[in-house]
Amino acid sequence: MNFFALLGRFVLNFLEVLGRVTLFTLYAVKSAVKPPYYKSAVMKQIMEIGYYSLPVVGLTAIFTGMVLSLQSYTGFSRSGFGAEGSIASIVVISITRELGPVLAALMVAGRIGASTAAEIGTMRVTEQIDALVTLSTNPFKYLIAPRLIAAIITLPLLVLVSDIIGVYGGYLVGIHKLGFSPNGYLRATLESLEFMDVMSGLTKAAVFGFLITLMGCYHGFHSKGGAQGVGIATINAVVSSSILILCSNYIITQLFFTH
Amino acid sequence: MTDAKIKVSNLHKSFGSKKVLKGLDLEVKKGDSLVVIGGSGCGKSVLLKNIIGLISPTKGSVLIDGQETVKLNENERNQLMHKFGYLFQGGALFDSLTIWENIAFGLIQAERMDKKQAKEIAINKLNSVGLGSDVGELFPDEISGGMQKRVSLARSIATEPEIIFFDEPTTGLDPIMADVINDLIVKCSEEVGATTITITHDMSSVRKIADDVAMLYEGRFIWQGKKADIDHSGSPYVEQFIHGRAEGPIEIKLQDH
Repeated sequence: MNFFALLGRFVLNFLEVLGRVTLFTLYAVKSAVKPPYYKSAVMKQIMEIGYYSLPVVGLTAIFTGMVLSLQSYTGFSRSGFGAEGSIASIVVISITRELGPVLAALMVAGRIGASTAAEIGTMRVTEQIDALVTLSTNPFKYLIAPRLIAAIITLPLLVLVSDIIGVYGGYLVGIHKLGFSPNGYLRATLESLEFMDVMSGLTKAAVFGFLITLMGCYHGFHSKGGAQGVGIATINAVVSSSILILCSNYIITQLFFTH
Repeated sequence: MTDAKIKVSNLHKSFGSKKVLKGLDLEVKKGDSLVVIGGSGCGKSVLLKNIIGLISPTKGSVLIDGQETVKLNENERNQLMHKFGYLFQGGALFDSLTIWENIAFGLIQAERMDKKQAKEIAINKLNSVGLGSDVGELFPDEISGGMQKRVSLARSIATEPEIIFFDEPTTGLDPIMADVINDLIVKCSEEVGATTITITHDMSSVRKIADDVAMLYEGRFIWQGKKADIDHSGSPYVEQFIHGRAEGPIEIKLQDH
C-alpha cells in the first residue's frame, strides 16, 4: 500500500481515538463532579482499590526500600563517600518522590486497571450496561464516577503507607545488614526529608489513580465481541495506564522540581 | 393526533458502510402486542434499540405518545425511560447483585423507592413469574437459564412500564420452558396493560403473544398484518419463514471453505 495512505490512515485513527478518549474523560469527570453520588458504590471501590491492594503494594515497597539501601551502599563504597547519612537520604527521597508512587501505581494498574476493564467489558458484552440505561440509570454515574472518586481518594493514602513501608525497608537493611546505628539512620532520614517530597508523591498518586481507573473504564466500556474483546480491553487498560503513569510522572516531576 | 403509542417513520440505521435498516415505518397502538419476525442478523434487535434510544438512528423519526424522541437530551431520555421495560436476549441480569436487587433495581434507582418496599414488590413479581421468595436471595449465576429469563421478565415489569420490549424471549430454552415464558409474557403484559413489541424467530411465540405481526427482511418490513392472517399472507417470504424451509426467496449465503 502507498506509504502516504498508510500514514494518513494512522494519523486519522490516532485522532479518532484521541477525540473519543477526550470526550469520554470530559463526560466521566462531569459525572463524578455533579450530584447525585452513589456513596455505597464509592465505599465499595475504596475497599477494593485501597484495602485489598495493601498487601501487594506493601510487599513492593518493602523490597524496593531494601534493595535501594543495598545498591546505594555498593555505589558509595566504590566511590569512597560516607555511606550512612547518604543512604538514608537517597532511600527516603527516592521512595517518597518517585518509587513509592510509581511502583504502587503500576501494581494498582495491574490489579485494578485489569479488573475494572474486565468487569465493565463483561457488562458491556452481556448487555448489562444497556440494561442500566433502560432502568433509567446513567452508567457513567453508576459505574464510572464511583471508581474515579474512589481512586483519587485512595491512591494517595495507599502511597503514604507505601512510603512508610519503603523507608522502613531501607532502614531494616541499613541497620541489620550494613551495621548502621538506628539513631543516626533515622536522624539522617528526617533531616533530608522535605514536605514537598511527600506532597509531590501524593499529588502524583492522585493523578495516577485517576488515569488507572479512567483507562480501565474506557477500555471496558468500549469493548466489543465476547471473551476475546474483554481480554483485549483488559490488556489495553493495563498497557495504556502504565504508559500514562510513566509519562505523567515525568511531567509532574518537572512541574514540581524545575524552577 | 394519532392514537399510536409508538410510531416509527422512515427509520434508517447504518454501521459504517453496512445499511441495517433501510427506511422502516411502523405503528403500534396502545395496548397492542406486535411481534417482529425475521432471520438472524436482519436487524430486529437494532430496531428495538433505535426505538428505545440505546442507539441513534442515522435518519428517521420515532414518536412515543406523539413525542419525537430521536434528539432528546440526557435528562429527557432518562425521563422517557420510565415508560419502558426491556427483556434482553441474554437476560442481562447484574451479576454482582442478588435476584431481588436485580428486580428492584429500577424501583430503587429510578423511582427512588425505599429498599424495604422495593424488596416486597420484587418478591411479589418473583412470585408472579412462578419463582419462590427464597430465589430472591440467590445470585444470577446460581440459577438456571430458564429461571434467569423469568427473573429478567420480572425485572422488566417491576416498574409497571407502559411499553415493554421482549428481545428473543425464548431463545435457548426447551419447548416447555419457552411455552411457560410465552404464557408469562401474555399474563404480565395484560396485568400492567402494556404495549409490547417482541422480536423472535420462534413461531410458537408468535402464535401465543401477537396481535399483529411484521416480517423484517433486508432492512425493510416486507409484510405486516394480523396474527390470524399469517398462514395465508400471500408472501412467499413469510411462507418460507413460518415453515422453516431452506429453499425459497430468502437465500442463506453459505461460505465455501
